[in-house]
Amino acid sequence: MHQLSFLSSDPSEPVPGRRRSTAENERLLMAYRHRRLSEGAHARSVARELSQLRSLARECHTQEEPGLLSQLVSQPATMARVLLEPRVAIARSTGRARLRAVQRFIRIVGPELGRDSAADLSALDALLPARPPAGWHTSGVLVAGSPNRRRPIAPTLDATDLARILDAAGASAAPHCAARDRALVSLCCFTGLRVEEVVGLHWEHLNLEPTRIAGQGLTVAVQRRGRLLHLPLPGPAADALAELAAPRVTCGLAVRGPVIRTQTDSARALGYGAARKILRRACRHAGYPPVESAELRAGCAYWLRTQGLSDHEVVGVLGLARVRSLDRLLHRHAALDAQRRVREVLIQ
Amino acid sequence: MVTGYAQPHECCYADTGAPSRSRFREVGSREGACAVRQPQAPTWPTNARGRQAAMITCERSAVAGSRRAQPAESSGPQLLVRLLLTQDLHSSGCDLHPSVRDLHHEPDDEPHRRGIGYQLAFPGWEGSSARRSGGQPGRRHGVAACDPSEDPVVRDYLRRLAAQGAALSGWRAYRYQLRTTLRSAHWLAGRPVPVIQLFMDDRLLGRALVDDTAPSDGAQLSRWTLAQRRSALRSFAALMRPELLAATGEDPHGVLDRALRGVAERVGTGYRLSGGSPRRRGGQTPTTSEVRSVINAAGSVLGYRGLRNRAFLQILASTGIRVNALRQLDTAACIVMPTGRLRLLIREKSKCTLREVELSKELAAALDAYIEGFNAWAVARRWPTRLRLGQPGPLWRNSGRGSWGNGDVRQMLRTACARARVDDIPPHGFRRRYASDAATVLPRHVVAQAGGWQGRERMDDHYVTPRPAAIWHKLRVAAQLADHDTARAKEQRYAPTLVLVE
Repeated sequence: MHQLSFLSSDPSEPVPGRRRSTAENERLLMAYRHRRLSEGAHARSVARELSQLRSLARECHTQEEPGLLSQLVSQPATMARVLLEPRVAIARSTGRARLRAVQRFIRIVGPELGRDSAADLSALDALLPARPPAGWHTSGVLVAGSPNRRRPIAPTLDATDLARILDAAGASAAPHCAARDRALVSLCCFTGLRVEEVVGLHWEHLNLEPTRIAGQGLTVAVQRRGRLLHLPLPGPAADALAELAAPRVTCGLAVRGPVIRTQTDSARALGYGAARKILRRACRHAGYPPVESAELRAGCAYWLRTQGLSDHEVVGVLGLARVRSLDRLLHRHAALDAQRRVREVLIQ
Repeated sequence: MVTGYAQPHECCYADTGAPSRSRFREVGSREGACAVRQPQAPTWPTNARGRQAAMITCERSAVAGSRRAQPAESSGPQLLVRLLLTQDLHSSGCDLHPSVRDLHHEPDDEPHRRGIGYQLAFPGWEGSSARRSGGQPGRRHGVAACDPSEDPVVRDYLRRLAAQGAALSGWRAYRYQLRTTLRSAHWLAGRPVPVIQLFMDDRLLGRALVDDTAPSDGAQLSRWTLAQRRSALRSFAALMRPELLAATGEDPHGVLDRALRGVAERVGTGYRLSGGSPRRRGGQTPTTSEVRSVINAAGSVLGYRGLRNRAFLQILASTGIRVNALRQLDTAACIVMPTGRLRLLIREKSKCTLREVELSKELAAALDAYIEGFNAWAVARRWPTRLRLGQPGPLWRNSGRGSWGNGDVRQMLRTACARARVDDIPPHGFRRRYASDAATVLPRHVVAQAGGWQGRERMDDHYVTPRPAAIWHKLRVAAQLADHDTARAKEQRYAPTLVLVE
């Protein structure tokens, strides 16, 4: 967001982007991490909180003195300023995550620094803007951040576009990687799996389950929201996986371990960044700008809808939590369909 | 007297240092009236107040033909300024750049009488009595001297508002409303009122909220403007609550509610303001034949401008895009799909998100023709600019530099209407016609989705205008069908009798 760059216009103000985390900060953060893990918090959540705290320390960093979290705890006004006026544009969810991390940090580390946590938290609350609460569970506190997540410009895709990208993935890759790239792109394009789920997929997660109509159907087990979901794999994805497994089956090798590997004979799974690169390359070869995983999932949802699946059935295939998420995914497709209908009317 | 629309050192994106989208930064634009482009590192001479007042290139309005003064100092960075000369420049007593003085001393002075307007971006002046013709000139000149944006609390608020992800237009609107409210309070109290003090006096706050006299020209503001002012102050109270709480010792929302209770009617859970004129909405909805003839007339201009006018108006008529959204379209936001379809990513009103609009093959061909025509024209004129889809830069151009201005678009449309012998169609008439025609056949939610309306209410109330001719046609058809049904019913009723008779 361009409006925010004025925050760094003053040369006497801190310069963003300098990562000079001090040993003291790391010591406090490690203590915080240990305490949070001992409270039973999820390791990923704790890692995110540490990341938010480090970014806050960077925000306070100046030429004269590094941003020390211990100083930040003792200066609620600086803390409030950092929470309210970030140097770079952030999402509202990031702003809230920062506030949560700060509150937990003050609660856990504050007593170790000889501070009164309750007093510091109330001082911070008093310095944060607020609007009248909308419900009993909210306090109306406002933090910085754009309500919408910013994504790069990408067009809306339909089934034809997905097929083009899939074809380009096979054509653009090296011969020994063609099957792997096709499998990767087909899993991203024609299933409800996210990129991080695809690269973490193992052959053991795939199951052949009996179905009433089509004999056996391939499903994939993924962990979401603390639950194990068995998502059905549509035809294009199942075919690509069969093509990927065929050489190992013919050689008599065991089909186990990571599905998407760095090399054919390697046991190491492909990384997230490499998978994104393969996706971007396929999009480029197909003539599209780089698309995000959300666009691919939306295209898949639209394809499933055109195949006659109802909204709830599509939600089941994609593994979404709510039908509203499908409405969000298909919002742009619905708008394009509406435009086409209106265009036909106006032409007549 | 010279009236300036902006104060370069004080205005939002200039004083805050935020860069605009181009390599220039915008300095003090007020409702888009004054476009001042200034390099990031200006080295200008300063006037008596020690502020920047240099200007090199003066651009005349295109109302009576364009004739541009050459840059007086070709070595320095160029600053494009539009001047508004209403009376004598020298009566202002300010330091003027030689090029401006030269321009003023030209024999064809009194340009405002012939409709040639200039705007001068100059520090120290506010307001315009010449901008709006219907107001009371000079209503509150003394009030304009103070600029509330110098208030550090207001500056903090604007920073926080930007950090909240507010869209640029919304940010500007709230800044304007805050400024207007403080000026109204200044006028009512007879002294400058800082915003913190305004929240200490709920009666003055309430009167300033419903003061529907424009500080610039004395015209009556609309209710919509006043409602936006209330929203801006609500936002201010929310974002600056800690500071206001510390200064006043009271919750600012409570103060605002008390102020509103004194001047507004409590309706449901909100307040209805008493002042302001009803907002004028709607207008003429052109027919299909009118739109077609206007497009043909606009496209009959020679050169790339004819191709541009045709493509622009065709896209407006066929997609219902807002005029400014289409006018500000960037070539980087035009995506050519491998299927050959062209998708435009249009910026939605008051939002940071983009809306995707797919063009038909005919529209894409018209756009391609304009781009080819412009590039050929640019080659012939030795302009360095080339249009290419997917690369950044304004799509709609009127010259080798910059984008097509809003005033030029309106002028083109007026000229085309006159040439086609059609009543003047406002630019929004195309969107109105799109909604009206589509809503006669399709469900309203489909039309709202296609046109980018967030809900049906706004579209129903302000865009869809049923045409009497269409209504009568459908009633006639319905009557014919009813007659036919009646005849069939009679036949069926009397059929057994006939059988019996036989």
